[in-house]
Amino acid sequence: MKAILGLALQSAWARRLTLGITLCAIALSSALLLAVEHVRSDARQSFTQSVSGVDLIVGARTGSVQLMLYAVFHSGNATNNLGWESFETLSAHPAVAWAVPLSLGDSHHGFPVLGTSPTYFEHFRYGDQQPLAFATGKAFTAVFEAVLGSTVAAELNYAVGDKITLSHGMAELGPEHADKPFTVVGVLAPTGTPVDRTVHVSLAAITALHLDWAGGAPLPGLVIPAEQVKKFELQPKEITALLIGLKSRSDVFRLQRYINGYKGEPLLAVMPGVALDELWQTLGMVERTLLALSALVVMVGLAGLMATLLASLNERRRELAILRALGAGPGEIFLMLTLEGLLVTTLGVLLGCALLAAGIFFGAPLLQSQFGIILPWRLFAPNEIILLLSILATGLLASLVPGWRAWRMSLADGLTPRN
Amino acid sequence: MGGSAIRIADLVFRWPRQPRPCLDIARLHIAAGEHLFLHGPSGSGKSTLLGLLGGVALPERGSLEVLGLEMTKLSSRARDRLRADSIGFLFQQFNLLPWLPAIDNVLLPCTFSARRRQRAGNPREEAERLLTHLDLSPNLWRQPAAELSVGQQQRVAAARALIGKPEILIADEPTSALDAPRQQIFVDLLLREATEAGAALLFVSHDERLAAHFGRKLALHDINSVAAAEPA
Repeated sequence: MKAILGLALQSAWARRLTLGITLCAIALSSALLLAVEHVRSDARQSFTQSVSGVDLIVGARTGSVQLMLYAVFHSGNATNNLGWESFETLSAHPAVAWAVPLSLGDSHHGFPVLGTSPTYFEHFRYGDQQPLAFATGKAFTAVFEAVLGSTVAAELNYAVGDKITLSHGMAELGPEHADKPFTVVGVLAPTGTPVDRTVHVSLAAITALHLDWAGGAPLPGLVIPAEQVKKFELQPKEITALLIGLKSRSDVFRLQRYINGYKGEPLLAVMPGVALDELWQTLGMVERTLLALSALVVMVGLAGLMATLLASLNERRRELAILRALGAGPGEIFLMLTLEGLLVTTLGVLLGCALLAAGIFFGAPLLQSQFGIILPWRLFAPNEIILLLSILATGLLASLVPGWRAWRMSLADGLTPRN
Repeated sequence: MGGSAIRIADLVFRWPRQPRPCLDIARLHIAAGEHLFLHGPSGSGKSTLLGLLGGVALPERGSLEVLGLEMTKLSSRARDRLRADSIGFLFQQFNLLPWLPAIDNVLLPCTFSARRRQRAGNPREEAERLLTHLDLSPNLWRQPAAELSVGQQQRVAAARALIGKPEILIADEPTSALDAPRQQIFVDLLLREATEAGAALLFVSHDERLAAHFGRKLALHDINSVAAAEPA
């Protein structure tokens, strides 16, 4: 048996081109399948980790998923804002423990700028009810002060005391608010959430930046220098959304009904968990389709393996007869073909894992910046191991067919192959 | 020695789903160390006979003894073992694994059979000795078999059949791929080596001219009562 295994390896090496191509097909398809599953579970994980301790997210009336996407993940745009009066009314509601205003729309080198109140740093929670922590510095107090998320500081190499200017809109090369620079006063500790990629400033700063702006461009002839903005009313008229924490969680439905029927203007209140569920339901179909498609691609790869091995049998008919004449039994011939298939599958899957690791290494920053999905380095999750084992099992099944054919062939041919 | 290499008595073989048998041999005896020329044109059932001797097929009836062992009483594993240990095969052509160097092709029986490995002493030296004996120049030994000429390949195949001194050598038209002048040279080479190894040689060919140097000649259609009745 050992003799034939060594020969099987040498024989496979002699056919390394065709087997190599088959191996690559298996590697690519299993990498694809693993990547879909990996991104799927990590996307869920990172979305779920992004916000906790917030009972309601409130914005102008829109879709609940959309509201959540821009309020928490700062992706997409708010179609409408809500009035400052609504914010004041809601913060004063007896069931509300705290309310934090959010104002979005500006950016800094592609990172979103969030205008908020300093209480944001006290109340915001992520992961398992973890509060935000400052790596260096402190929360902003003056108008032109900024607090950076850890990724912003790391990627742009900023430290407390540096001056930065913001751009209008989300475009990386949008018009600059160059006349009103900000001083970095704090850098947050990493959270693994969209907070890391956010520049935090005060609401007053957002208002101040846009005093001499209208319709997305500076007003011609009107320049209000930074030193003079304090003379103006910096209370915002509008905000994008607000986060609400309740005194008692049992009030959540009552308050949600109250907000959704709010008389002042059309508002929408969503519970983050419910909105996430809704998001998963929308994405679930897409996810399952993607998963099924990549499983199909793996099948195609393994069918290719089976075809390659079956095709090789015809040219190896003499080889098998020689092995028979040397004393190999039909069982050993069967094993030789089956093991060859299993070996190619195993190497393919291993190469696929390596491709996936490389993909995560190079793709994770892009995925995080474009979609706010964080792909951490981690070991395989149980369901990914199940996927891996299923690929191997299917590869084994696919290899049994050529093995069986070779067994039949060696019984029929005996020592003299018929061609 | 003086024992028997192959002894056949009242053997009948029929392929599955065939109405009539393809072999029906009343008696065939090859003594140990004997050189027998068996004349058999293609279609006379000789491949089938070789399959039976190699133990990859079993007779429907009758007795087939190889080295005193009754094949019909052996398991298929034991028959594979016997083939690996005691029989060297040499076919028409394409005897070698094309991707394996010539010398490693010669060494194959020693990887399959511990007995032949043992009898070869130092297998690599023995392989080199046989190849030298068979006039294959050392610069070809490490070449993949596919890069050798047909004549060179047949000599490598002969060395492979001979290594580890199997008791029986079975050659099936080993010269048909060679040109006429080289055929007789090859047969003589084979006879010489078989004698030296003390192996019984069963040489099957359609070409009676090659029978000259054999001690005994037989025609398959004389001993196979089925083939005699069948049109050629």
